[in-house]
Amino acid sequence: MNEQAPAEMTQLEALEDLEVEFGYAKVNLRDEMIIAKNAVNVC
Amino acid sequence: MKISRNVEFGTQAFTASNGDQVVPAYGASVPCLLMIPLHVYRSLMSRQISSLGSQHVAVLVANGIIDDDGGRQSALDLARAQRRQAPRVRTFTLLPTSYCNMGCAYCGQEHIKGVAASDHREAVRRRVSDAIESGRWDRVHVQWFGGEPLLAYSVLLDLAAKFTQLGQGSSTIYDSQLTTNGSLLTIQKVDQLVLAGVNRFDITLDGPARTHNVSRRMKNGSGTFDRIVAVVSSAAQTHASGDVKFILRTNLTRQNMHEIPEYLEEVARFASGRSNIFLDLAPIHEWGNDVDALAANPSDIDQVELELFRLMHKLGLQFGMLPSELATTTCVATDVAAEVIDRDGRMYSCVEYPLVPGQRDSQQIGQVLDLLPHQPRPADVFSGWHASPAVDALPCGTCSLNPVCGGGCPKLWVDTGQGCPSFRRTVRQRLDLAAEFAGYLPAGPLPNYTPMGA
Repeated sequence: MNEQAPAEMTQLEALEDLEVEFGYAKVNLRDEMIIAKNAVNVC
Repeated sequence: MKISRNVEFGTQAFTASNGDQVVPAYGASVPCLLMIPLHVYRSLMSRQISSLGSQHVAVLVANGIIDDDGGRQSALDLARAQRRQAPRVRTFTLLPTSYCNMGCAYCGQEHIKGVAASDHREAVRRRVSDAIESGRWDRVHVQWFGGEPLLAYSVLLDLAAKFTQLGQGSSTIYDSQLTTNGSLLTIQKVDQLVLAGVNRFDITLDGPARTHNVSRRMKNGSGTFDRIVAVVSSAAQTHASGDVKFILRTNLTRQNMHEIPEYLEEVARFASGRSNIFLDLAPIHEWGNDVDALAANPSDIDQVELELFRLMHKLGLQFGMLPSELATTTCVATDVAAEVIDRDGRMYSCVEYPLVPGQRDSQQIGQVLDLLPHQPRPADVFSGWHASPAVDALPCGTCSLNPVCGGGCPKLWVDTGQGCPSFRRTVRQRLDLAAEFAGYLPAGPLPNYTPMGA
């Protein structure tokens, strides 16, 4: 068992709570790495 | 405490559904897109970060909007540090044949009939198998490429069966993707290929049916659009619950770029709302051939891309506008843990060399028969290029987007002096669009600001 995991989750949740409380919001980028990071030709 | 070198903001403020005024901010070092309150944006622009409370600072640091290291790390240092922590991935781009059954006007390849000879095939098998069994890699990835790889279908399946079998008994993940013109793809083959470890199909459609059937005709003159669409549509439904993706690639040219809206309407009939079909629009460039008559002006492409993003969103299609993951390398060419092997066992760094006359010989870096299975590919000018001093001399050295771009295409930098992807030029407009697509209403332009790393 990774005993750090619950603590890390709590930190993440606390951050998300902060974001909501102070008027921030995440937007999903939906990229899934499909866009060409370089310009390789694909035939 | 200062604004991160790796942040970009949109060009406009937006109104959220609760009436709040917000600004899109892209932290490329994370990466993430965060809508930040307008008053926070103003504090950042007036360099009054200390006036923000500690909670604001915590959120902004965690999302890569401000640095808590005093700005000591450059964009490139940061990107390099992140890449050192990335999963260990070994990539093989394999060309089981050098032949193609299409004759596309913009293609710079020379196609030669024949498939991989048995001794070369065995050497490739040993090389990939060693990588899977060695325990040195978290993931081994094969990119089936060509020519048209499905013209060597039996060779591909023969090799893939071995790799899949080894991957199933290993802690190393084995997976693969197939780049195909789609003309020989059937529903049965998709099913077989998925069992053989392929979880991504990159298939090219060059515009609406009337255009595709002319520009990507078979060497016997027949069209392929309807057939490809039928297979992808059916296969995407069959594999809807799995981790299999279908990427519809469109090569943008001066001729077809204004027909893409018509194409997207056609594609939307079967791909709208499908979470495993993605659209990828990419401009063509020189490929050992002269494409001046076909290549569109980059600024025209930039504008068209933005308009097409809006249309794709309206039609319910899946596409990417900005990277959502860090770039560990730019491409196989710069990654010393990646290599390209053609059907004759010739080894290259870049996928654009093996089938281009002249470059096929001049750019070869090795022969698979001459290397022991565990030996890395011989070095060439692109090896480790993304982390080399050469990049510091380019705009990449201070570019805000380096962590997600990695430095663009090294071959383009060397050949043309310009290797940036189009999202570098239109990142701010893309952030505006992402906000709009998420339901935020435009509320007027933001005051000008100086990006930290542009």
